[in-house]
Amino acid sequence: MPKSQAVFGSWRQGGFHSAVTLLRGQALPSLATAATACFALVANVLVLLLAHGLHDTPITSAAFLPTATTMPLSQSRAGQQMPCSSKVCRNLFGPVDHNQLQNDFQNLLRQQLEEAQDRWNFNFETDTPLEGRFEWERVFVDQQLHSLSKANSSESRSCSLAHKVPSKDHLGQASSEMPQQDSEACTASSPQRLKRRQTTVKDFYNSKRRIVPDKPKL
Amino acid sequence: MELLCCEVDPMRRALPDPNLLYDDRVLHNLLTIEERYLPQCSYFKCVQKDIQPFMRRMVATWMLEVCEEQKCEEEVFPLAMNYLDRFLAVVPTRKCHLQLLGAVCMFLASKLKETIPLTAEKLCIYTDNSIKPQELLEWELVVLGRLKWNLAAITPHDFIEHILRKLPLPKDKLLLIRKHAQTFIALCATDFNFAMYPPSMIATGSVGAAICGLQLDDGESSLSGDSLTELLAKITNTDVDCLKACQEQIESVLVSNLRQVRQQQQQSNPSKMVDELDQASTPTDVRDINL
Repeated sequence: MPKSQAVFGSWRQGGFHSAVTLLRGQALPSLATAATACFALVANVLVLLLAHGLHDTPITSAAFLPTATTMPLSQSRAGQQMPCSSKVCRNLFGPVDHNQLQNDFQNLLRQQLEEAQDRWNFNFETDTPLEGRFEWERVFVDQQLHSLSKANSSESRSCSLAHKVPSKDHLGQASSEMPQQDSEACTASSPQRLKRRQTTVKDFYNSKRRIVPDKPKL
Repeated sequence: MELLCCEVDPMRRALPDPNLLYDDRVLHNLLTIEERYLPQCSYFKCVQKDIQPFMRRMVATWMLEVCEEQKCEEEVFPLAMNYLDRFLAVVPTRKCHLQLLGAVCMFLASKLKETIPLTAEKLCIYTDNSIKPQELLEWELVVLGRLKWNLAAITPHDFIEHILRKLPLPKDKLLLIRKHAQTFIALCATDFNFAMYPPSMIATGSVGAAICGLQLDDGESSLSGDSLTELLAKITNTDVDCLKACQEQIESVLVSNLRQVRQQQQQSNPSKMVDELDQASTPTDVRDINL
């Protein structure tokens, strides 16, 4: 460790630890002010360090925080051991009621689901469409499409995926064509459509290859 | 010893992209959309019943310490505070759930900004295991929903480079100014008074405070007092008086924090503090603000 850092390190540690012990012994409101005081201390340390010409050393602002000096500067995030003894590990507002937390979570989640249900007129829990401004239609998706899109878990759900179809005022033609195809036609025709697409790509490739040897003859 | 010297920072960083930094359209767009990411209201008055301003400060200080100890990117902390404020502006929250919320916000901000993000387990340990990783993950979903999955919020950091490059600053001081400005931004994020300010104003005020604090106006007249404020105001289209007020507010927050430190030091065991008081009494740059 460079000499200057060692000197600063020990000084910083001393300063901060006493500030933290001070933090711990206080009642809640003053704890907040003491905590900000620690922050100011950090800014102070930062300025001091910089004033001493250390700003050339490649250390992040984190290194200015005194607690960080307990870890080697070069230690990487990935392999870092959990600093369980660290002063930063603390419970701010007393014990957490886990049942209450769970209830609040369920309430908020239900609220969100209801909002989403109103917005899309779709019940996302039961996968069923509801009355509203969107028209929902069941779309049957075949296995080949799934294997192409590399969906890993979708095979079990094939032919049951429901997709949103835009309402008529957005895409009148598209939505009026779709109902004409029954489920059988849908599953039967889509692989063909896929094959045709692939062959057109090949055709293009072949024609290109044909053109290239032609050129020298001309 | 040699081992230490050979070790390099494992984080590979991209170079600053001139296409992003030297194009005024980017700055213009940032200024246009920044208002979208402000909290909807001053929530202590109208939404929260259980949570007081000093509790926000407590959780903010804790979050800053976690970010510093985990060596997070500079933007992670202000971004997490943005999530926290936006969530609290719409959801009445219990005091005892505030730390969990802070952890969730750091979790999200870290995932958005960092190569190696903070893990849920780590964050839970930092709450002294008062919450479980499973709870953190559940609440992540709730917070995301309330923020409408709109996570790429504008922070003051987004403006720093755009402002700095338009100022006639000495090259050797640039790193120092940036560092100070970043510290001021973090300071602002811990203080609720700044929560409703547009990020561009906080960034401009922080750069202004950094330059004034470092007293760089010796040779360059455009970097002193009012002319600096006018120059800064022009860059981010801020009102001169608002900017002046913001910068003064930042400086006074810093001064009051420094004063608190001194008081705390004098009240607590002074024997241990002798060393530090000696160090602290040496004239430093930021102290010069306290004129």
